[in-house]
Amino acid sequence: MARALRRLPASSLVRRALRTRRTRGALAAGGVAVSVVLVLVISATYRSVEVAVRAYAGQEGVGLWVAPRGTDNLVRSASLLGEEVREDIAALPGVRAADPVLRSFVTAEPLGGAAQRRRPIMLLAIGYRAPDGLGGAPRLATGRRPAAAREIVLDRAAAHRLGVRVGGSVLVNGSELEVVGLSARTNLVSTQLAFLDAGTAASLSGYGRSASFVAVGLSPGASAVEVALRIASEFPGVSIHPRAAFTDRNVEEIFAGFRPVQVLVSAIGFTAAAALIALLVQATLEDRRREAAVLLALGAPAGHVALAVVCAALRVVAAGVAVGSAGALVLTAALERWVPTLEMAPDLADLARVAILFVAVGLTAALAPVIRLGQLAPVEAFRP
Amino acid sequence: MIPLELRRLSKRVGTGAHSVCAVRDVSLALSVGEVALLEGPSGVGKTTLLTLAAGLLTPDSGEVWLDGANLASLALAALRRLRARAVGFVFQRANLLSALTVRENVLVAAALAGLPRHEARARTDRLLERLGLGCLASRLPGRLSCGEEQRVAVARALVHRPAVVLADEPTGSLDAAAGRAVAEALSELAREAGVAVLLATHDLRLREVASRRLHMLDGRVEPCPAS
Repeated sequence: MARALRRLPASSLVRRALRTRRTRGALAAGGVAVSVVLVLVISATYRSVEVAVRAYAGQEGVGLWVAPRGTDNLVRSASLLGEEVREDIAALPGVRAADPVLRSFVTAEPLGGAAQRRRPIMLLAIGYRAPDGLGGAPRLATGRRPAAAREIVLDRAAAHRLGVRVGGSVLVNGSELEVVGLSARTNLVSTQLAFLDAGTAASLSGYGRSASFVAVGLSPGASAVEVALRIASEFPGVSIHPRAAFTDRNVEEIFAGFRPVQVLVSAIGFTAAAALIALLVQATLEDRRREAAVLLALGAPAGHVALAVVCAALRVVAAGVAVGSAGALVLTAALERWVPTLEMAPDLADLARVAILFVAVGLTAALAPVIRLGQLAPVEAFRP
Repeated sequence: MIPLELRRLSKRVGTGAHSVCAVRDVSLALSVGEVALLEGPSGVGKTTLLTLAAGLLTPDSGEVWLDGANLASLALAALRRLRARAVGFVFQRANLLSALTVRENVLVAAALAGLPRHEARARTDRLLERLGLGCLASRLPGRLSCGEEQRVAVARALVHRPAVVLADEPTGSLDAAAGRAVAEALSELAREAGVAVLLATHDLRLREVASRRLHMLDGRVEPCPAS
């Protein structure tokens, strides 16, 4: 009985009556999808660098990073720590391991046939106590860690750029090294990491037995704060960074230049989507103006009519976000497979944020045309 | 109850020096099931009078009583609800909603009038059958002839059994045969349902369907001598 007496929902008929024309809606949704891809790809690129930085600087086993005074990140460090500092830190209570990490920019060149086609590239070489000391590659894509002098692990994007595989050789600062493994999540976009034994790194860079950093592993149950205080009292000329703080500082440093680009590209994407939605809503209203007037004359609440127009815009945004998100995921997977130099790390939280922002942008863009709908008089339905 | 009564209604349209008195001291009452023809050439105020009767325009002076309610005393939302329930429209152009099917075009008026779902559907199907549109119910308006479109508009105007149907040149865009069919269908179904019709036209062929004829000139309405 209640079912029989239920009223026919006028709002859904009004919504359907004022929906956007299919081709126009599909084109606008396509435009929104392209904007979504743009924003998600730039965001995934940003995220991949963050993942790389966090994977390295935040690697398991390192409790503290000790650096020369004034150095708080991996990329910008100039001075070095002497060998005796590392040895004395290793002897402190609460310290399980104190391994040297020597970072230096090196030039890598392909060898053999690849040399004809590839150009030398700069790499950020990380020398560490190979193969299992602290500060090595956080994750290998293939191969093994360097176990001897003259062995190197390259970031897989760097290997792609040099045209070399595991088992091949590269010239690093003029010395031939064998590529024994490829690392993943070590691509910082502007440069890539390479890992080799500290001794080899020292001889290639000419730094001797010094270290850029000392990666400190803590004994079980030892307090990072207490160990940091001990190191500080023993070596007043060093900076001591807990792992999390060092990781965050590295992320900040690397993104200081990258973030404005991300913001600019994202703003362009959002603006393009907003313009498309505003145009679409305006066109829909002009297109359906008489029909909206007829509905108002028939007694449709103005709110239903406005809601119908907003719903039409939201449907387009939703379709664009869905297609764009799927497209970005497919593109990311394809690039991961075929263009390893462009590493991306898509993130569900980013996707959710982007979706919410696009919906907000769509609503805002629809607002002005919908407000102008208030000027529509139902008497327009009587015009011949 | 008198479905529609206009009391000393006047309305100027336009602004400043270009304003004209489109409706001048018009009084008129329609009884249940009556089909009143409002004749007159273009531009004499017929459409303005219809929009005043529907509460879509506010008169400068005078009163409109629709289904027992003085429109001036109603708030906007109440006026909208009354219009949805008590008025049916047939426009010069059918003004169907192009994204909805024939059936949905009729259902939309029933839905806005607040009819229960099953009743709305039953009345819609019955009306479409009566108007010979049953087989076109699932078509979109773009695939109908002008005559068919206008018959759908008639169904839309009557589906919720309003107190009054206001028809503005409903045969203006139709050929003679189609125009006659639409006018006959409208008057026949309205009489059956007890719905008053105010039909503005300058099409003299529609005199046959009218129970009363009114003539409008320079904003004034007078009974036709021959009616």
